[in-house]
Amino acid sequence: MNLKLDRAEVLRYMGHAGSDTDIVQTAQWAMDRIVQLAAPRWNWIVCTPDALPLSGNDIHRHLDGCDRMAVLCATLGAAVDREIRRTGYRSMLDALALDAAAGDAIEKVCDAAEDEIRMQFGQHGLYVTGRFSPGYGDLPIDIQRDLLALCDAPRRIGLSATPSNLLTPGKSVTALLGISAHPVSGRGRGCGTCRLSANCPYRKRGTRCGT
Amino acid sequence: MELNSRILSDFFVLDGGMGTMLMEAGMPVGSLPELMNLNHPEVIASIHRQYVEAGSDMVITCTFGANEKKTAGCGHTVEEIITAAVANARASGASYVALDVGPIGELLAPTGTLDFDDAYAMFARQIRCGAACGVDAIYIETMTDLLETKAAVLAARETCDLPVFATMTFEASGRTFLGVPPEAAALTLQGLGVSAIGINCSLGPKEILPIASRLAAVASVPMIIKPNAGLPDATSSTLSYDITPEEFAQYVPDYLALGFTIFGGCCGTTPEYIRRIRTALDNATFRAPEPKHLSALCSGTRYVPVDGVCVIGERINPTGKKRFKQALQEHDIDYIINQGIEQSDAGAHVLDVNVGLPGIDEREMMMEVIQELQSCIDLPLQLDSNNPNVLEPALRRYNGTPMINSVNGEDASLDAILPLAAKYGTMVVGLTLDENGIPPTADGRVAIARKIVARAAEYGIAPERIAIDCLTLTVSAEPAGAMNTLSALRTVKQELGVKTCLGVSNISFGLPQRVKVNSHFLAIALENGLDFPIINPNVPEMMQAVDVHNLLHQRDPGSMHYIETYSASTEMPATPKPSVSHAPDVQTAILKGLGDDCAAATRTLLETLDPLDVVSKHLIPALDTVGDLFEKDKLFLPQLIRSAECAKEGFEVVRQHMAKQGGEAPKADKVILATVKGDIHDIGKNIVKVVMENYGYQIFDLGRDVPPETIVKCALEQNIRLVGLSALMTTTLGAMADTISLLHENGYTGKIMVGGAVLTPDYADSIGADFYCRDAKASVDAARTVFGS
Repeated sequence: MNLKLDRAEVLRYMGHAGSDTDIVQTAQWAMDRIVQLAAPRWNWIVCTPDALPLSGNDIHRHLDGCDRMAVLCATLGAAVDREIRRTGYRSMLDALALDAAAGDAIEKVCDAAEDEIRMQFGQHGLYVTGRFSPGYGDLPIDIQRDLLALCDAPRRIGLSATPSNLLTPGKSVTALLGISAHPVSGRGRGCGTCRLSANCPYRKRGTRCGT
Repeated sequence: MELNSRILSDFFVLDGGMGTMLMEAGMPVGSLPELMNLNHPEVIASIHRQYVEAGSDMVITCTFGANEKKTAGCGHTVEEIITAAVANARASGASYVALDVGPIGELLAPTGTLDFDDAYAMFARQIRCGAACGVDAIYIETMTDLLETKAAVLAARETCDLPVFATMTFEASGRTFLGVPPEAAALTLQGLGVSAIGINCSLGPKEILPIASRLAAVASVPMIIKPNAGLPDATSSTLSYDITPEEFAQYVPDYLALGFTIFGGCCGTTPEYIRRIRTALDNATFRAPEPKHLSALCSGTRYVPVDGVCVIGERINPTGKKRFKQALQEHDIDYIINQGIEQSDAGAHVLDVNVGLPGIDEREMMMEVIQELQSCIDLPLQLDSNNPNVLEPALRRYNGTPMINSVNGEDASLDAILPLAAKYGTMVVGLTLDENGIPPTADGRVAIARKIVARAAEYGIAPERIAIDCLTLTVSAEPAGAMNTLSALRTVKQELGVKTCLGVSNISFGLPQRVKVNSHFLAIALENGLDFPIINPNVPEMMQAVDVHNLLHQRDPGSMHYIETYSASTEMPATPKPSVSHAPDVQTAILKGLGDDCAAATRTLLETLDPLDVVSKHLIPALDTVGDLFEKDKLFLPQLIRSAECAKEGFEVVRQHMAKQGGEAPKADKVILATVKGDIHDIGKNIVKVVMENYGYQIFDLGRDVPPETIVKCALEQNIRLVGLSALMTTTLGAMADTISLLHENGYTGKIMVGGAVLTPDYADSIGADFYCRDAKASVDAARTVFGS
């Protein structure tokens, strides 16, 4: 895919809110490097919501009115992890910038995957909610492994999870999107469902983290 | 017929897709196919039988995911599943039955957290059971990580005597998901003694062909091709593939031309595909694979054929290097890895790794350094130790095919080292010395080289896997030494068919301007047939000698490398340093992140001030200013880090200044930093480290995914007064709490600070942490509370 990153977003992930020329250049360097190294892959399947043991209120609210859901897995691949690690030995600033650029990149990959899903179901007059990931709100992250197995993600896109449910490679995302015959918006992402909202440095500064 | 002889004398046909057939038989999506062995044995047996009727010589059990991770909670043991699966396969009447072994489904460290030994144990459990049930072979497939494949192959080779087939799965890019090129897969797996290697899954026969051709260039054992039935059909709502059995079989001649002799099918293929393959092979002529006699090394992501000058970087070695010794003693892994990164950037092809030092656990250190180097550098490594107890665990866990440095002509050395080189399929350096020392004459050294080559042959190690080192003697002490070495080098290279290796810089020991002698000697040695110069690639003159040699010997196509490397340096004269009068002071340099200026300003201050005053009155106050601005949201995280990295250069100047004056650096306050067990996000912890180091704290960085026991041990042994723990995920907060409890249970009396995205002050308090640190600056504040400023 043609990966286009958003520099303002990358700077925000870096925790930057100024216009220091050096830092902006570092962010741009990191974005170019990530675009070069990333091997974006995604895979999604469609199933009924009961295909996964979903607990918590937030996901049920998100899928309200949806008789099916798309389960999405996406990753930038292992080379990005290696580069961030290697760079950290030389400069943590550059590593931070790469990490931020990779964070934006995986969001852009998910956007592309979501567009694909939306288009496919839109053709049939169906509606699709936004993405909701394990770990958002009160949806436990420990459905990660079942979710990956359901998508055959290790084999199809090389994505797996550790016993503590961290995705490996690191720059990866899994998400659920509701599908319905009626217009749905889903509970969506936002400060309301975010468990970090009470201590969020972005909110303290009067901004948001970008979602 | 014994299976190994069979595949060397005739074509061999495997089966096709199992999952595909199970879906057709009505298996629900998302269920474990392996359980069908127990719940519906008749379905599995019938699928196997259909393949045998279609012409499969060997069927592969339905045990792809029958490992203890994937079957956890299914209500059956690995043994129950495998026993049933083998019985079902046998019931088909197949001539041969192979135990299928797929990936575990979790990534090994350093990418994931699964330990190599744990992976090995899981594979060994499956294989032990399969062997006990009487399978004829072990079939390891669909692998994407070379290290995981190696764990499975070693488990098979060490658990049973059965032939091992191993296939990996590649993307159209020509690499696996984890970046393994087919050449590295072939070199490593055949080096480990598998009976056949190959490619399965992911793509159809058409897309795999170019990858197969690369595999074929390296493979010396029979090759397996087991593609999908084309690519997944995007237009179909069910899982189906885009080529027919007829089209599938049309590729058989292409694969025969490449030398493939073992055929089968993966996802989407059915008995009809196998029948077509069988027919296509009916009139084909069998050719047994030919040994390739390759000299090559690899890591998990890079294949390095030795067909020209192959520079080995010598810097990861404590011999004669004070700073490196200090790094080993202080367990400063960062310093060691940086040596590797620098040499890699300077153009080394291989890195020598020697971490032997009295008082250091060489075995543990070697394993740790290798894993860390391999996590961020893709060059193959040369494991430098003469101790088999250090080498063996390192060889096991090394991702790829390394070189051993070294064996020598002594029987004890040959008996200890050669079996390791044979078992792990590595290259090995042979030193031309023995119990009588280094022979003074060229003939004496050639004689030892002959002995090494002959003894290696007894272990099946061909000459091309040996690099003979004719040993460089110091020319100031041994005036005839250089010419003797070169004469021996020429002879062994011509006569024995080996590669050659030399530690070059010894030549100039005790002489002024050593690089002049070193680079010239290197040029002559290359001219005399040196393949592996062991040098410092960071010295430009040394790499220049190599580049010129390649240029003159037509090993630099179109002179591209030479032109690219050397045209830039003439175009851009070094910019003159700004004069001191305009140079910023320490405060400005640190605030703006100007590292060179910070170093220069620190040097100026040291002319008039005491080093400790430079630190306490200039460097630290400058960092404090940055910290204050950060807290007030006037500066942001990137600038905080940049200032810390800049200040580092100032501190380094002070450190060198004090070392020169012979003064001891003041004892630094010691702090442990670690990312807790189960968590592999360490960027936050590393930022804290950079910032704290520059406030003068000595950081014991225990890394990521650190077991609580390791943290407790270090805290008690080092009398630590502050432990910093990091966790990014809600799921690893438990490990943070466990670590804190264990510290307290074991009598740790110091303080604990915690940080990480999902932490809150309340939670930090509830698990018994003394400080909640929202950022790197807060960690410094916590440390100041503990130690005083």
